[in-house]
Amino acid sequence: MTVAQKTDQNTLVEALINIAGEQDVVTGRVAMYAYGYDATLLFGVPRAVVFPESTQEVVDIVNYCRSTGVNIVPRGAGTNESGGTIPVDNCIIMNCCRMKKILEVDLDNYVAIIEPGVVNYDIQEMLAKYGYYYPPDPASYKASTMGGNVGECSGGPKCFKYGVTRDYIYGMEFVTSDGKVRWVGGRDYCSEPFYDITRMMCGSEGTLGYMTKFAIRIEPIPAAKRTMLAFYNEPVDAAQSVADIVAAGIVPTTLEMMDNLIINTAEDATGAGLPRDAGAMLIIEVDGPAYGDLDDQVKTITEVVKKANPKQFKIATTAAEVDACWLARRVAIGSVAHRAPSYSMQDITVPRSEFPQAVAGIVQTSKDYDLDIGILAHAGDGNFHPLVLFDQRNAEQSERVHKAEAALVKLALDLGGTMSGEHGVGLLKKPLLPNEYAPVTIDAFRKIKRAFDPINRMNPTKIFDL
Amino acid sequence: MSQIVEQLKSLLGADNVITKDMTKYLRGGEQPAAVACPGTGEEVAALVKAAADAGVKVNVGGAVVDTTGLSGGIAVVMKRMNKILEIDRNNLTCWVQPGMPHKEFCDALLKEGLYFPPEPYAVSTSSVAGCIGIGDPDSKAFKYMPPRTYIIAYEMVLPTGEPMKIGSKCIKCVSGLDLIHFIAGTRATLGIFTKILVKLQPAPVCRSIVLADLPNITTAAKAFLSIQKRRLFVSRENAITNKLGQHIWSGAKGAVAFVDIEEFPKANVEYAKIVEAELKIAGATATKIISDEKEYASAELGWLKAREAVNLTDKKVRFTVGASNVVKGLDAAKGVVGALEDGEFALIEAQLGKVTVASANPEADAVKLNKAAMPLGGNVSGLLGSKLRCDEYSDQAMFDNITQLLHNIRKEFDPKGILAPGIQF
Amino acid sequence: MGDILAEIYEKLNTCGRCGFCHGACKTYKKDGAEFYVARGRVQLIKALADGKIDSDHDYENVINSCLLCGECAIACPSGVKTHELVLAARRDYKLKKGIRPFLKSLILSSMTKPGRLKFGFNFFDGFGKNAMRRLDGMQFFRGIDVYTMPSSSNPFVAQAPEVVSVSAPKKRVAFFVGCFMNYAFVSTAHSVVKVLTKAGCEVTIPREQPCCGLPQYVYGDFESARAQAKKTIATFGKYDTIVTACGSCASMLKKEMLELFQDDPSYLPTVKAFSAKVFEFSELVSTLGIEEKLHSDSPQIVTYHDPCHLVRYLKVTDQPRKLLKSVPRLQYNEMFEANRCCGAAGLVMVFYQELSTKITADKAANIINSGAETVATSCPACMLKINSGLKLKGSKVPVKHVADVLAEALRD
Repeated sequence: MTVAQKTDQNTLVEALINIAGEQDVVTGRVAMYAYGYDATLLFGVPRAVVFPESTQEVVDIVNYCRSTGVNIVPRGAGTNESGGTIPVDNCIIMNCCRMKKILEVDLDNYVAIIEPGVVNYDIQEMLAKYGYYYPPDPASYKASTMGGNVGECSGGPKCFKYGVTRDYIYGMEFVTSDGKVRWVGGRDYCSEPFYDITRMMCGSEGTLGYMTKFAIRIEPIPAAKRTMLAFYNEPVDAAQSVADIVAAGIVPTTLEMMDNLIINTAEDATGAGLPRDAGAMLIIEVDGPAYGDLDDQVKTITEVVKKANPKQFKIATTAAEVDACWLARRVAIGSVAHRAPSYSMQDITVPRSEFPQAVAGIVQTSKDYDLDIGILAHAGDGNFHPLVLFDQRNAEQSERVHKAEAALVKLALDLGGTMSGEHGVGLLKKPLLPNEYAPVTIDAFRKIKRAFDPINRMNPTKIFDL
Repeated sequence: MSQIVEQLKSLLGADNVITKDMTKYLRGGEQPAAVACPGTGEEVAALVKAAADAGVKVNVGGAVVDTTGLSGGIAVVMKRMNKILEIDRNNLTCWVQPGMPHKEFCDALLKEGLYFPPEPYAVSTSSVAGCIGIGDPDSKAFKYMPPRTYIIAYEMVLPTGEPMKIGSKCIKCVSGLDLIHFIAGTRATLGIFTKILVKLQPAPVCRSIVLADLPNITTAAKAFLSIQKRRLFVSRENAITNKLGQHIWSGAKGAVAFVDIEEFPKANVEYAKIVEAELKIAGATATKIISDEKEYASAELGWLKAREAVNLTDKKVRFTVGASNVVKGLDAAKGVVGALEDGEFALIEAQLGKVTVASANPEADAVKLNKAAMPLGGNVSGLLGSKLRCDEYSDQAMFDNITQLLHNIRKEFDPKGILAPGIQF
Repeated sequence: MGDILAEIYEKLNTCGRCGFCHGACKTYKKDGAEFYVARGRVQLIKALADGKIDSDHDYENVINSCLLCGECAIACPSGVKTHELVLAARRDYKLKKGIRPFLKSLILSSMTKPGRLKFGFNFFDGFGKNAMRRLDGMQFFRGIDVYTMPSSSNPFVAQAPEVVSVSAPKKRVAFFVGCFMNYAFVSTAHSVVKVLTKAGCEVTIPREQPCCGLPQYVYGDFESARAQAKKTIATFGKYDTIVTACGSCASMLKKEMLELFQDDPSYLPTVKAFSAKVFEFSELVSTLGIEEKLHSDSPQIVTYHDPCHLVRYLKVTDQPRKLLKSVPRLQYNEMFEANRCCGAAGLVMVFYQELSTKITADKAANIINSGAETVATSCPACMLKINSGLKLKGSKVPVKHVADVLAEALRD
C-alpha cells in the first residue's frame, strides 16, 4: 500500500469538522498524546480524533478517508491489552464513545439493540433493574465499550459456563472501507445471511469494518448462586480441584485462580486478610435454578476440594461475603503496581488438562529470565494471565521481558494451546502469530481481510500485514 | 471427464470411486461423473487438488450428496472417514472425522458420560461435518447455543487443494480472525472438513421429557409462553401438528408438545411438574412425563424423525418471531398458509421463536410471512430473510452489499468456483 | 522536569493504563474524552514531566477540569490517587505560570478578603441578579439557576449574636460558618445554630470568619492557603470544639490543612491539635442524642447526597443518614449512586460549566428516580448545584441541608 501524498492537516481537520461537527473533532498535541496509548506499553500519535454520532457520519468519514488515503483506527475506551487501538501511520482515531444509545430493550424476547459506545456496565446496570443481565463481563466491564468488547471478542470470568462475547451477539450493523453499510444477523440465531458475518466481525479488532449497532442477547439472572473460596498449598492442588469439579459433571460459572505472588499484592492493596503463605487461591461459583441442587453441588465441590488438601475453604453465605471473595480478584491485576511500576500481561491459553504443566512452565520462565511473574488464571478455560513485573525505564530488563513474553507464548503453543485466549493479537502479539499458524492459515485470514477491506484502510497493520 | 475419474481411481483406489449405481449416495436430479469416497485427509487434499486443476466441480456429504449444479462433477461421500479419533475426557473435547454419523456420535459420547448437544439435521443421514457445515441452530440452541459454538478446531482442505488447520483444545481463542466459528454454516463452500475437534459438556445428570396431546399447536404455544414467563428455561420446547407428531406420540389426537428438561435432579422434578401443569391449563387432553432412559431415547428419536421430515422438504417456510410472540406468529401463518392443522405440518421451537410451516408455495408465502414476522421481532431465516428484510425497507442496495460481500469471501477462497456448486447467492 | 513533578513521578509511573477509572470519572462520562479521565490526566502530567508536551492551555484544562472527587482512587486497582496528583500538577503549574485566567485568580484572592467577597455577593443580590432577570433566557447562567440562587445582602455573622447561650450547656462549640453559608445560605446557618442549641450546646459564632483556604489550596496557591489556615487557627484555636456544616470546609480543616503544613514541623503540631477539635455537623450532632426531641406532623420521603469531601475525604456517610432516619415519619430512600459527585467541585462549575451541568443532570435524574420529596446533603456548594440541576429538569424537589431537615423537626 502506498500513499502518494499525505493530505494537509488543515484540510483533514476541516473536512472532519464538516462531517462530525466541531465538538466531535479533537486535535492538538495534548489531546493526541492522550489517544496514543492503551493498556499496553505501545504508543503512536494520530492526526485527529473524531467522535461520530451516527452511522451516516461514520459513512461520510470513511468515504473521506478512502478518498484521501487516511487510515482509520477504531477505539472505544482504550482498555485493550493488545495494542489494537494504537494509532498507526497517517491515521485518525474513530472513537465510538459518543454513540452510546441503548436503542431498544426487549426483555420478553431476550434481545437489546445498542450502539457501540455503550459501556458494558451501563447495560448491566440498566438490565439489573428488571432482573436481567448480559453474561459476558470482562474485567474492564465498568470502563470498556461494547464496540471494544465485540471488536476483541472479550471473555471474562464467566466464560466456562456462559461463553464469550461472540456467543451473545445476534446481529450487527457495520460500515466497511468502501463506505457501505450492512446489517447482518437479526434478533435471533437464525438470521445470518448464509455466511455468519457477525461471527467474523466479532474479534476482528476493527480490521474488517467499523461497527455501528449491535443486537445482543440478554438473559434473566439465574435464580440462585453459590460462591466458594479455597486456598491451597500449591497451584497444582488447585488445578486438581478444577479437574475433579468438571469430572463430577458440574459446570461452574467461575473458576478463578491466583498464585502466591498475586495473593500477596492483592493483600497489599486490600488488607482483606488473605493468607500470605498460600500457594494458590481459587474462587468457585455455581449458579442455576433455586430448587436445592446448588446445595448438592456445593457439597460435591466441598468434598472435591477437601481431597486436594486445602489450607482454607470458605462457602460465602451473605452478599458481603461473596463480595469479600471477589475483592482480591478484582484488584489483582492493578495490585501488582505495588511491587513494580510496569507489568506485561499475557493471555496465553492451554487445554485444561495442561494446567499444571503451564504453571510449572511459567515458574520456569520466571527463573530463566530472572523476572517476577504472577499468575492469574481463568482455570476452567485454561486461560492464564501471567503478569510479568518490571520497570519500563530499565532497558535491559525490558528486553528480558520481551524474551519472556515470547517464551510464554511458545510454552502455550507447545502445550497445544493458543497465544491469545481473550485479549486479541493487535500489534503486541502480531510478530508471534506465525508461531501459532502455518502460512496457509494466515493466508486464509488475508483472504477474509481482502474480501472486507481490499484497500486496507481499516485498522491496518494490526493482527497481520495484508 | 473420464480423465479425472481415472485420476481419482489412482489416488483413492478403484474401489473407492463409484461410477455405477450412484443413486443411493445422491440427492437431486443431476448426475455427477463419480462418487468418490476418500479415506484420509491426504486423499481429500489430492482429490480436491486434481479437481481444481481440471476445473471439475465438487460437492461433499456425509452419506448423501446434493447434486444441484454437479453435472459431470464429483460427489465426495465421507462414509469411510467416520470414526471418533480421540475422546479427551479432561478437556471435554473430541476429535472426530467428518463422516461420523451425527446420531451415532452423540450416542457413543453419552455412553462415556459426555454430551454433544446439537441435534442432527436429518437423523438418518446427517454427519458431524454436516451439522457444522449446515450450522442450523437446532431446537436446543436457546440453552446450549447453536452448533457453531461447539467447533473449536478443524482441519480442512481448501478449494485449492491446500490443507489448512486452525484451533486448539482451548475453549477460548481470539488469536487471528475467527475462522473457527465462522466456518459453521458455510456448507462446504470454503473447504472440505477432514477432521473436526468439538467441545463437549458433561452428560446431563438427569433428563426428562414432558409430552402433551393438545387440541392444536396454538394452545401449545400459549403454554410455552406461560412457562417462559415463569423464567423457566428448558432444553427443548417444541410442538408439532398431529401428522408428524405421531412420530413422537403415536395415537395422539391433536398437536404434540415435546418439552425436554435437562437439569440437576431436584430442579428436574420441579420443572417437569410446572411444565405439565401449564400444558394442562392450556388444554392438554393427555400428558406424560418420561424419565426412563429407554423411553426417553425413543421419544427423542421420534422427535428427531419429525425434525428430519421437516428439514428435508423444500415445501416449507421457516421464520422467527420474538420468543414471546409465537402465538401471534402462528396466527400470521394461518392467514398465509391456511389452517395449520390441515397442512402437512407446522412446527414451533418456542424458546427460539422459530416457526416452520408447510407451504405449497414457499417463495410467495415467504414474502408474506416475512412481512408478518418483522413487526413481531423476527424474519424469515437465512439469506432469503436478509433479502426480504431489505425489500421491506426498499433497500436493494443493502442486499446487494451483503451478497457482494458473500461473493468476495467465496471468491477469495475458491477462485475457480469448484466447491458446492449447488449453493448460489 | 519541575521539582514537584519529580517528587510525584513514581506515583505517576504507577498508573498501568488499565483504564478502570473510566467508569468512576464523572468528567469522562460526559463525552468520553480520554484527556478528561483520570488515566488521561495522569498520563498527560507524566508526559509534561517527561517533556513530551507543553503546559499549554489544553493542559491547563486537563488539570483544572478535575473535580477532585476522588472516585477514581477508589476504582484504581493500582492505588493511584489521581486527585492528589492533579493537585500537585496544579501546584506545579501555579509555581511556573501563576493562576490564570484573570477571573479565576480574582475569585480566589477575593475569598481571602472578606470585604471584597461581601461586595461580590451584595452586588449579585442587588444589581446582578436583577440585571440577569431582565435578560431573556438568562435564568440559567453557566448551569446555575440564577433566580433562586440564594444570596444575602446581610451575611449570617451580621445577623446572629456572637454567643447563643442555653441553660446548663452540655457542650460549648464554636461555629465555623464558611463563606458560602455565611453569604448565601444564611437560613441554613440559622438551622445549624438551632439544632445545636436544641441539642444543648452553647454556640459561639466568632465575628471573624476567615476563608478555610480550600479554594486556594486546590488551585495550587499553597501560600495563600497557609495564610488562611493560620488566620483560622488564630481565631478558632482557642475553642474546645469547632463545628462546621460545610463538607468542604470540614475536609480542609480536618485533613488538607495537615497536608499543607507537612513540611513545617514547627507549626504542624498546632495544626494537628486544631484539626482534632474540628467536627462536621452531622458527625457532632449524631453524638448529642437529639433523637427524642424530633417531631414531625406529616410523613415525608427524603434521600441523601454524599458530598465528595465527606464520603471520600472524611469518610462521613452513616451519621447524616442516621440523623435523617431518626426524624419521625420520615421515609428514607437511598438514591442510585448517592456517593457520586454532583458536579459542583468548587470552581469547576464556573469554568467548565458545560461539563459540570451534565454531571449535575445525572445526579438530578437519580434524585428524581429515587422518589424522594426532599434531597438532603451536607455542603452548600452541592446544595446550589443540585438545586439548579433539579430546576433545569423541571423538578420541584427542594434541596436542604441535613441541618434544615432537623431544624424543621425541632419544635421551638
